[in-house]
Amino acid sequence: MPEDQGADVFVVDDEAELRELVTFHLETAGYDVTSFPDGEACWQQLQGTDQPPGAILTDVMMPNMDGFQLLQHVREDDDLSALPVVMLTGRGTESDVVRGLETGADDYLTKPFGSEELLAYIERYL
Amino acid sequence: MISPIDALSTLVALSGVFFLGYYLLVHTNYFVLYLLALTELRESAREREYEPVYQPFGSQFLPGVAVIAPAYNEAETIVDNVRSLLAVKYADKEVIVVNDGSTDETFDRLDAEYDLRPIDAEYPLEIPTEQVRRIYQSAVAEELLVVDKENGGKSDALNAGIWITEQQLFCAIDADSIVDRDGLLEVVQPFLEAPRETVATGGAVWAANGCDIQNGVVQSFAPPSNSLADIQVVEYLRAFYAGRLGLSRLNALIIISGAFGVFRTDIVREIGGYRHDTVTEDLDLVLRIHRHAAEADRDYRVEFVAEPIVWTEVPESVRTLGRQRRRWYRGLVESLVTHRDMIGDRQYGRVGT
Amino acid sequence: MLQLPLPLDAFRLVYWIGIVLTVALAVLGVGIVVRVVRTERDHNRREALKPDLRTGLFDRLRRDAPDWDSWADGLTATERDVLRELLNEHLRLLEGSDRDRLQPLAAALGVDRWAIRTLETDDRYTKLTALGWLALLDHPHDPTLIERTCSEDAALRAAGARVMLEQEYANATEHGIRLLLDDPTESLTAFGLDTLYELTRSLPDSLAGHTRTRHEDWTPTLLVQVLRVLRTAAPMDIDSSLEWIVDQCEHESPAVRAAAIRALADSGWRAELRSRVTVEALTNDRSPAVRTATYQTLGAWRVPEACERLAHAARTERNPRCRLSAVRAFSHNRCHDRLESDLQHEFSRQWNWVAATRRLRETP
Repeated sequence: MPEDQGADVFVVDDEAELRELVTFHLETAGYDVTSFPDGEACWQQLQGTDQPPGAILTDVMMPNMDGFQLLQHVREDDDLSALPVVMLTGRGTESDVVRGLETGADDYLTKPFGSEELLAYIERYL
Repeated sequence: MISPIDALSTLVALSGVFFLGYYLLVHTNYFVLYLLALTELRESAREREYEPVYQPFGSQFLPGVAVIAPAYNEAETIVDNVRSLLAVKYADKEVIVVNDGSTDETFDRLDAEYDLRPIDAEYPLEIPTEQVRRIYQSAVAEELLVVDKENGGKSDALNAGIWITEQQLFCAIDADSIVDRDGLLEVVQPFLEAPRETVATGGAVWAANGCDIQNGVVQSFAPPSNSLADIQVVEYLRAFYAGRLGLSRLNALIIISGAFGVFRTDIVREIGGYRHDTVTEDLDLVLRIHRHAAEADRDYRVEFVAEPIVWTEVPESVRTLGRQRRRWYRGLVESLVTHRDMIGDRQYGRVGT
Repeated sequence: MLQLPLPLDAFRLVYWIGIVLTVALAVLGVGIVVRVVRTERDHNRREALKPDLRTGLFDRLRRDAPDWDSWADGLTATERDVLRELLNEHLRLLEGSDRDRLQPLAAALGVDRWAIRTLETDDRYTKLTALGWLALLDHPHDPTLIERTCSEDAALRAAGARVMLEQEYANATEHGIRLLLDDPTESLTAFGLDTLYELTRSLPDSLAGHTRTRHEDWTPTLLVQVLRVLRTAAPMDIDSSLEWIVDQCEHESPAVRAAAIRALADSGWRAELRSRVTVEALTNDRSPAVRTATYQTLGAWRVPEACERLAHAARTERNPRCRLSAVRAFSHNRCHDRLESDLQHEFSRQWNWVAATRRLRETP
C-alpha cells in the first residue's frame, strides 16, 4: 500500500509512449510519479534533491546515460545506494539479466508487461 | 572542294547530333533507373509502414556490431561524438574509437569523460597497421574501447579497429556523423534474413544541417537554411532513393555511401581491409568485396536499406564542397581504373555492367 | 551547307516528343507536389488530435464501466481512425488485464471484424496489417483461417504464426512451426525468426522433431536459421532432436556445420551426446568459422575431456585467430593445473590477453 503522502516513483524511459503509460498506471494506483527521458536527467534530479524517491523504474537503452550506468551511479552513491531499482527492457536475454543483477538491480521486467505485474513489482519495494 | 564554312557548319551539326545523342543516352539511362527505383520505392514505402507485432530490439538473433570511429585531433568534438555513438540503440554493440596518433588532447578528453583503463596485455594477433600502442576499456561505458596507435591515416585506423574486434559485423563512421538511434537495427536486418549470403548492407545518408539535434540524437528533420546545403539535400535524396534503389535491385550496389555501410568483419579481413592508396575508401572496399565474392563463386548479397541511417553535416561553402567533390570523383576514377578488368566481364555479373 | 543524310523530319519528331514528354512530366510533377502537401497536412491534423484522444482513452480505462461504444459513436471518422492507431500502439505495450480491458474498444471501433474480413482478400499489405490486429485482439476465429489465407510468402506466414502464438491456439507450436517452415526455399524474415523462437521456447523438441523429418530440400540458409533458434531454445531429447543436430555437423555447407555445433553448446552436460559428436573432424574442419564455433562450444561444455581437445587444437591450429579462440575457450574450462600451466606457458601472449580482458570486464 502506498504511504499517505504518496510514495514517489521515478520512471526513466526514452519512449514517451511508455513513460505516459507507466505514469498513468502508477498514478491510478496512488503513487506520485516523476518521469525522465534519459538517465542523465534522472541522475541530475537525484543529486539535487534531499527527498529521494521510493523506487526507480528504468529502461536500459537510453541516450546520454543508459540504465546500467544510472544503476551504477546510484549504487556507488552513499546516500542513494539502497534505493530500489527495477529495470525495464524489451529483451530478456540471460546476459542482460545477469548484468543487471550483478550491477545491483533489484529486479527485471520485460516488455510488454501488464499493469498488475508492474504494480506488484513496485509494491514489493515501497 | 569543300569550303571551310561548309566544313565548320557540318562539324557543328554533327557535334549537335553527338551531344543530343549523348544527352538522350544518359537520360534514358536515368529514366530507366528511376522507373525501377519507383516501383521499389513504392513497395519499400508500404513495407516500411508495416510494423510487425514484436520487439525488434529484443531479438535473440541480432549479430554483434562494432562501430569503428577513427579520430585524429578532434579534442573539441570527440566527447560529444562518442556520446552520440553510445546512444545508438542496439544491445550488442561495441564502440571502438581509434585514436590515430592525435597530437592534441583527444585522448585525454576521452579518458577524463569515460575513465579509460588500459588492458594489461599486448594484443596477441598481428595487426597490419601502424603500431598499436595500447588498448583501453572504459570503466564507465562498458561497450567503449579506445585504441591508441601511431598515426597512419583513416584507412589505417579503421583497419586497426577491424582487426581488433571480435564482433561479427562492423561499420565505419566518421566522427562528425550521427548514427540514427534506430538506424543500426534497421541496417542489420538483412543479416538476419539471409545470414549466409549477406556480406554488406548500406544505409541512406541524410543531411543534418538544419535538423534539431539534441545530445547527439536527431529529434526531427528540417531542411537547412543555407541554399548550397539545401541543394545537396535534394541531391542526396535523389542519389540514394532513385539511383541506389534501382541499382540495388540489380545487385549492383557499387557505392554504399560516402559515410555508411555495415560489413562482415571476417570477409573484410580476408580481402585485406581498407586500402591506403585510395582516396575514397568505401567505394574501393565494396568493389573488392564484390570481386572477392564473385570470384569465390559464392551466392552473395549487398542490400540497401531505405531508411535514413546516418546524418552528416554537408559542406555549406563552395570551397569545402569543391574539395569534397574532387575527392569523390578522384576516388571514383581511381577505383574504376584499378578494377577496370571487372568492367564488362561476365564473371562479375551485373556489377561488371 | 553540305547535304547531310539526316532527315529533318526526324528532328521535328524528336522535337514534338520532347514537348509531349515535358508537358507530361510537368503535370505529373505538379500532381505529386499537390498530393504530398495534402498528405502532410492530413498527417499534422491527425497528430493534433492525438493528445485529447489519448487522455480520453486513459480516462475511460480508469472507469469500471468505460462505455466505449457511445464514445466511439460520438467521434468523427478521422478521430476514430486516429483512435485505432492509438489503440494499436497501446495494445503492443500492454499485457494481461490491461489488454483485456481494451478489447471492447476494439470491438466498438470495428477493428476485429475488419481484420477477419480482410484475410479473405488478396492485398498483401492490408492482410499483414489485419494479421497484426488479430495478434493483439482476442477475437474468436476459425483456427484454419490463417493456414488457408496466409501462406503465400514469408512475411505473411510469419504474421500468421504470430497470431497463433499470441492467441494461444491449441497446438499453436505445432501449427505455427508448420506454417513458418512451409516453403523450403524461402528463408524466414526477422519477425518470423523471432516468432519461431517464441513458439519453440516452451517445447524445444517440437521444432527439432519437425525439422528432422522434412529438411531434405531446405536451403542451407533456412537450416542455419532453424539451427540458430535451436541454439537458444535447447532441445532435450537426444534421439529425436539432438541426434539430428549432430548429423548437421557434417553438412556440406560450412555455415550449417558451424550453426549445428553451436546449437549443441548447452547440451554438453550429457556424456551420451558428447560421445556422438565427431569433435575430431570438426576441429580439423577446413573452414576457420567451423573450427572457431567448435572451440567455443567445447569451451561452453566445461568438461575435462574438452580441455585435452582444446589444448591440442591450440597447438595444431595454423590460423592465429582460431588459435586465440581455442585458448580463450580453454581458459573458460575447469582444466587441471598441469595442463593449464603448460598451455599458459606455451601461449603466453594469448593467455595474457584473454585474462586481461576478462579482468577488466569483471572489475566494478
